[in-house]
Amino acid sequence: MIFNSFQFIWVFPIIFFSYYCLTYLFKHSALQPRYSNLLLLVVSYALYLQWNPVHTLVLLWVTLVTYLFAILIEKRQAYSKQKYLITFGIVLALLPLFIYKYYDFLLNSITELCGRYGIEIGLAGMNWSLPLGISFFSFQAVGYLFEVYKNREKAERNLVNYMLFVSFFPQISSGPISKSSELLPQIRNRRPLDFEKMTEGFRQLLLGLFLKLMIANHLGLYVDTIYSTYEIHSGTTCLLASICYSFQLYADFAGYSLMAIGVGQIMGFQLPTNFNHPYRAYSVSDFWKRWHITLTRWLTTYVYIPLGGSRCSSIKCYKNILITFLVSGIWHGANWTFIFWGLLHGCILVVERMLKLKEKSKNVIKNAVRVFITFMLVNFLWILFRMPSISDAALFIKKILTSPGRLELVDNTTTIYIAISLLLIVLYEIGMKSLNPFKSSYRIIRWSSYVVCLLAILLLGVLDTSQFIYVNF
Amino acid sequence: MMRKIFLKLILLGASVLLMDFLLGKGLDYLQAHAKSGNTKRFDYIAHEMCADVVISGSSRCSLHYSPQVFEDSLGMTCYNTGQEGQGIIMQYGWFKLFTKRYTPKIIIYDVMPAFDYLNGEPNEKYLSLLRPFYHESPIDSIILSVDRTERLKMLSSCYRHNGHIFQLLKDFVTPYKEDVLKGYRPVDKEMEYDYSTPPEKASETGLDSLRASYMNRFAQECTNKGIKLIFCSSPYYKAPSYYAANFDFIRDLSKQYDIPFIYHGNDSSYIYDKRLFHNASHMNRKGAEKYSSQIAHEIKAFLDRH
Repeated sequence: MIFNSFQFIWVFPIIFFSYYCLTYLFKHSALQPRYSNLLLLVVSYALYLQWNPVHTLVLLWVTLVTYLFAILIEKRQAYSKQKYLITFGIVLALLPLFIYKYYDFLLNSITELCGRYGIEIGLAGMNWSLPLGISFFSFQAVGYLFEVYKNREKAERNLVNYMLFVSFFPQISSGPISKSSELLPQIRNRRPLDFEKMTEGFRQLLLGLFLKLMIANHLGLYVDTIYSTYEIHSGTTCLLASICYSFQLYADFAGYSLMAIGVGQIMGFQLPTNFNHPYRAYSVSDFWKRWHITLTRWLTTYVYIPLGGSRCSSIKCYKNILITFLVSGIWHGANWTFIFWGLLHGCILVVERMLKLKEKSKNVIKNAVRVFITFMLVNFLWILFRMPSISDAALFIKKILTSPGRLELVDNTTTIYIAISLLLIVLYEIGMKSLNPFKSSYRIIRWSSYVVCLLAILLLGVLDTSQFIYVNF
Repeated sequence: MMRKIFLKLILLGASVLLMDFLLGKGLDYLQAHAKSGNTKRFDYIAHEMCADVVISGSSRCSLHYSPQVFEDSLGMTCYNTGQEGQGIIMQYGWFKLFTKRYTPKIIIYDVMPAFDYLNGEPNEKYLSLLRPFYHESPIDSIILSVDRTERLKMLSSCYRHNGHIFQLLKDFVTPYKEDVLKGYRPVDKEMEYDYSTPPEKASETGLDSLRASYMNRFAQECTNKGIKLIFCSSPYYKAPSYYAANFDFIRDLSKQYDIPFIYHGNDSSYIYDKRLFHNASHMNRKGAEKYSSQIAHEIKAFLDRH
């Protein structure tokens, strides 16, 4: 279910009402989590089925493989057997991800390479559509398996609980990627009705909706126009479009994460934070501690640290960083642009480590310059993220650097929307908490801001149920 | 606690509904009293226009067809209803509105396959300009044919004006100025680059059944009302050879209803001369005037023959 769709407006109140009636009816019973989990599982699978019934089998496969292998790993005490099981379990769990996401890319790359040497490969690509959220739920399930293997988590025996852990509807399509130690205990235990938590959940949901419909979608209109015909636009226009894309991606993904966290909170769950003002980062290393936090945490825990992390020689540490970011690039998409994007981020992190850059300086101007440089570096790398090929990205960057020209805007109305969107997202990013009307101590201000926010979405939002960008990953 | 939660949600919902209703009334007033701009123009097309010749289509229509040239050539009054980013869904809606009042003699329809019958962007994008006319029959049924949930969405008065507030405010305060160009919106800039955006391929995209059915209804109703409908396709910069095949649907429709189809999409006297264009899909004033004269002459010759 897309949070910005009309379906969400009528389906969510039904889910919410049913869930709360059930919680209320069994508030004194020990069976409360069992019944409410069953309801949430039915809802999660029904929504996934509605998306694509065949893909539900993929979700089931990943869930059952990791569920069974976790139990097997726990039963086998011998380390060698555990190692064999975890390897086999991860391979089986990631098999659908590889087939659906990377098979065609790998085949095309090999075919192209062989074609250069006159060798023909007769294999055809599958061209299958990607199951919704496959990268997210596969990683979450594999993370759980690894936790059981490392003895940091007990294998979950209750299949309903585990199925809900993998398929929980607010986070299945784009995260946040929860750790089993965060989500499973919440699923197992009673979740009492908490008014404050629920109110906060509604606030997060509203803020997320605002970021997506009012900012991301408006910026997206300009970004799509310029990126699709960048050859005919000036370098300055391309630069503005790239900046707009940086903020569009942020508002889109942070908006989704806030909505997922908000819906989770309304249901009594606390999902992990995914963003912490990433464009206020002082370095690219700092940026990765603030952007898509749950993925960075996953990669650090299950790729970087097992490789040796930073507790080894400098050269090995640099290698570990590059491998981790290569995995990050591959995770984002089956295209050389993503691989190159990941590697470039890795290279910058290696350089920062070599230079021993400190997190923050005492000098305000120096800090501002560092924030600006970091933003521009990240911004230029997002071009690779957005473009269909490395050559297109190179031409786009070349255009920005060599032929600035004059700034071309679309029509007056679009310009007003872009200006308002950029202003709002920059204010949000600066994080003027004292000015946040949602958090005001005056009830009248809080309530007025909710009403204004909803009316602004109705009047000015781009309500075309466009998909969230990260759903494609 | 449940009571407290639901009471607060009901209170919030009621406040939003009340504000939505009041704001919606204000926006309706701005729309009804617009003095200029697109708001006035749309109202004029729906409720006042009485031109003998109506030219309809997308932005390629509003940029390529000069009503003055047609008036001089055909000796009839003319108005251009072409609208940027719009196709048959919106144009059919306007057609239904103005034909409730009068019947034009000729309709020239500049066909844009991507907007008129080929699969592409979702059809909801063509509803934006029709929503303010939702309460006028049969606009409601056109909107609902695209998306049935619009019936519920339209309960919000603000939603009807989604994305139009700045335009409404501007058109309300800007004083009236006569549209001497009669809907024609020429651009004086010349193309500064040599780049052609390849148009879509009909063989790859396939037909959008809903828009194709509206094209069919449009042709059928024009025939039934005795309106002389003429399909045209204006030049497209460096249009590839496959471009002509994109109009096979129109050729079939023309045969079915005996409607003339004048094709200049690949006309070599235009498509390689970038001085006549301001971007790949739009000609500038120079190109538009040349094309308008030629097409008006061809239509006149056709009318004289029949």
